[in-house]
Amino acid sequence: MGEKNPYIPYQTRINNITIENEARDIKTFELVFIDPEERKQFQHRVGQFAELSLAGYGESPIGIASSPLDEDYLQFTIKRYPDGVVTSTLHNYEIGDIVGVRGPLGNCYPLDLMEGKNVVIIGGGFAFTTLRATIRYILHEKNRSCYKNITIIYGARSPGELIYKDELKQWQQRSDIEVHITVDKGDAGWSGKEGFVPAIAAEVAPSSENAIALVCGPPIMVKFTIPELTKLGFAPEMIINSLEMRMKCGIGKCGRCNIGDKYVCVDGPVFSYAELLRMPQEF
Amino acid sequence: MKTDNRIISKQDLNKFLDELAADNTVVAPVKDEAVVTFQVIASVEEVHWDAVNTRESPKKLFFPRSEKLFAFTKQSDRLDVKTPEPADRKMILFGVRPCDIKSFEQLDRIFCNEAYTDPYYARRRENTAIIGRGCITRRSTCFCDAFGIDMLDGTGADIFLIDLGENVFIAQILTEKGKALIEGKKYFKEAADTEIKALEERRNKVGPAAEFSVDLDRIKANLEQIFESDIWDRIHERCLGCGACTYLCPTCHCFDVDDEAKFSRGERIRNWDSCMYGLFTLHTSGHNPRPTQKERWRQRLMHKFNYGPNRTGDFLCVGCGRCIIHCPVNIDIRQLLKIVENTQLEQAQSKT
Amino acid sequence: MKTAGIDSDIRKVVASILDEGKADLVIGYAAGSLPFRTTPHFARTPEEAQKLVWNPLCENNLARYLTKFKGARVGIVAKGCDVRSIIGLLQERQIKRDDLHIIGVPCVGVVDRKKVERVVADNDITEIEFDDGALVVKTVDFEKKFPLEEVVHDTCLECATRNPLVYDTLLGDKVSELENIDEFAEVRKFMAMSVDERWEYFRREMQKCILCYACREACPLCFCNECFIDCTNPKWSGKSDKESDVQFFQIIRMFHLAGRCVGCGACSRACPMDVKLWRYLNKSRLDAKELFGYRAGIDENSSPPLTAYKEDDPNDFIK
Repeated sequence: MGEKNPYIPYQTRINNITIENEARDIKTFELVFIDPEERKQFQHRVGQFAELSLAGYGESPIGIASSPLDEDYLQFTIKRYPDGVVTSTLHNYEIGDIVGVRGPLGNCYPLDLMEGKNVVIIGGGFAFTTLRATIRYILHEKNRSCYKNITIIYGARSPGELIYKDELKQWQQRSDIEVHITVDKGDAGWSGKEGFVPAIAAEVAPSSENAIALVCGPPIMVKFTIPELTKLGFAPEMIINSLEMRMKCGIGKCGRCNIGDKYVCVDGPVFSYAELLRMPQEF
Repeated sequence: MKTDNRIISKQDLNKFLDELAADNTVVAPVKDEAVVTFQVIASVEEVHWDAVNTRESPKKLFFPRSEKLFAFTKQSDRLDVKTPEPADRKMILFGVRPCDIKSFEQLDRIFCNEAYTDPYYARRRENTAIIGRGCITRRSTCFCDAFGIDMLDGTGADIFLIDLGENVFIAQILTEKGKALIEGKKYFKEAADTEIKALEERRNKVGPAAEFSVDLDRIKANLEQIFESDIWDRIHERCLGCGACTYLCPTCHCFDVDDEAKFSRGERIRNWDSCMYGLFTLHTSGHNPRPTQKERWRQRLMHKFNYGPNRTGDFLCVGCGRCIIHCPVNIDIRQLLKIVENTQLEQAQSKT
Repeated sequence: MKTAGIDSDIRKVVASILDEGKADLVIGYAAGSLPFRTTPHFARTPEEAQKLVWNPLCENNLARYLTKFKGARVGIVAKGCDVRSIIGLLQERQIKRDDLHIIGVPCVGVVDRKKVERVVADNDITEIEFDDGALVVKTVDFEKKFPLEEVVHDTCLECATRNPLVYDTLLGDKVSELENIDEFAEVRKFMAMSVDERWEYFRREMQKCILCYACREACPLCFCNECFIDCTNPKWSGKSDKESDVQFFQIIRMFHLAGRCVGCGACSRACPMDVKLWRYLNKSRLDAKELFGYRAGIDENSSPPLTAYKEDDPNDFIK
């Protein structure tokens, strides 16, 4: 069985671990390929995911949080679920431990559709990971000029639960993007916006003219954000979502992750709202 | 390749199988108490010739119940990964019926496509020659012809045998692989005109046509419209959620991937799984898009008769009837197809 | 198919139960899609009750569905063995007696399809008749008459409660209970083999199992929300076709049923690979009787020996 075996992961080593939130159950793992040649083979696009593979424990499909232009490493931001064997085990791993990465898998955010447009990025909680990869990518000096105005609306339950805090601060200081951070409930030290993401989206009211919106977050956030975007005039084809589903093979064979006739692992996880409307509401 | 019709006596066919078993792994229907299943045989004596079909489908030869994807050993600086060695002998699958032969083609389109090829499945398929057997009788639960499957058509097999009676078989050599198999075997004689005529007569004499016929395109179209309909509320009630239907089915292909390890050594294994199980789509967060048997039964029917054809063009059913015979509560998929076929769309939609 | 004519009685009784609001739903049997089968039927209106039948093909243990309808008022057509399961569910507080309307049916045995298939093989059964204590099976080519004792399930040959022990309505006349039967004759024969012989028999039998869980799903007393085999944290066992994985599931399931199994045979009838499950479960029933003096599914007010602690629990077998 040669290199084409899609069930065998690449091997990487944990180079850095960042605890992202106050509850300490969201960590960003920076992974470096043991074989640098394999890093070159792993050319991902923003929005794709990989199956993180812990030998003896199993695999977990996680969105790739680093940009394709972050050439030396891959980053994955993972929330620990107490019932999840893989996420719980991974959270106990240390720098130097070996993690398998199988991928890149799935489709990507429609960069070609986004070119020349105003890009609105709306994220919530820890589902912000692939959006963060996208932001890093389109803000890169190689790419920035391809896109017009970039607006980011990102929220979390509380200030402590915001992830990528340092990066958020950096983006807020840039003049070539507009960043709105909100929390459901602030605390003593919080001087920023307070309110659910859908409400803030309505308040910011990004124009839908020549614009495309990428939305990713907990189901309830997405459910209430999409109508706000529709009110603002975003057509269903211009509202882009990323879904998650229980997965195993990640390559469209094991039959587990389908919504209607689409497999989230190969036909998704990125779907436009127009596509979602055509799918059975079973997710 | 033009059909190469040969003739062979039962006696010589037995000889052929024994000769094959000397150098190959031959798998054939074997009877153990009342149950006939495909097993490896050492001699033709073990072959059971009389069953209409086996209990389980032969998909397990290409997509085994459990398959080791790789073994691993944790070293200090890397993970040593070892995939299984190829089989050291070629496999001959003997006695496969046209319905099951068709199922292989459907599984081919699922396991090997432009996106990804499953190397385990592909290797087994490549390593196997198929000797099929036409059906000269059928059970009332067989409805293969609803899917355009002909009881005496061996397309997809390498050699296809048709029983002419009186211990004589037509052996149709359908592929280069089949040709290679009979290389030098003098007892495969060219079929004479009289024997070809006997074949045609056999074709006319096969058992009564199945009483069941259905408009598959109408079913596919109806399924498109009735996802939210309440017809699903009653269909699922009897279902135990046991998985017997999916395990016996020739075209069901869902699987689970599981790691087994002790200290630093282990294996990643893939096992059959079933959409009928409650845990199949359960997220770690506790959310389950298919929380009751209603959603799961709907998935089964939709996958086989709508999603499947949408993806590969195949209705994922070959009418073998195994699920009908062995469902513990006698859920008959033909009845459900009729319900779907006859659903009045306006009524169904008005209930949404 | 000709039967004892009990069908119209059952339809009347169930229709009036539904009419009078004694139950929201009655679970019974309807004719199957094949001449040789019946299928569970869920009747919610008197019209739907007209599909109900009762005959020796009614092989499913419908008590299995009761835990799916907790809180609703449910009627159920129940044979003697099914009622033993219901008593088991009542003992373990999985259902409330007040929520149930039990329509008891005295039963002399259900046909074991597999026994008939051994004789009939692949010949399609076109018609079934019950003729005065015999089963008449017709195929295209022949007709065969079986005395009922020859084709009923093995559990029926040793049934201790052919008349349901508990019921709200009884349909049909009571039948005589079997006398002088040793429920455990087969088990004793098995125990007379050497340990090695018994292990080899068990190992070969379990090689047929494909871990489809039909046995678990057919069993009324396998009602756990999460079966041990599905637990990933901790993971007790793999689910592959390795002998050890299959044996682990079967052995642990049997131990979880030890002292609770009522010997209805639903597991064996559901098994698509003809594994002789109930013979091993029967051993656990023998143990419950001999070690604890206990028989499952008989007395609503007692408890399975492994679920309740008593000061005077027998323990002379603990060495």
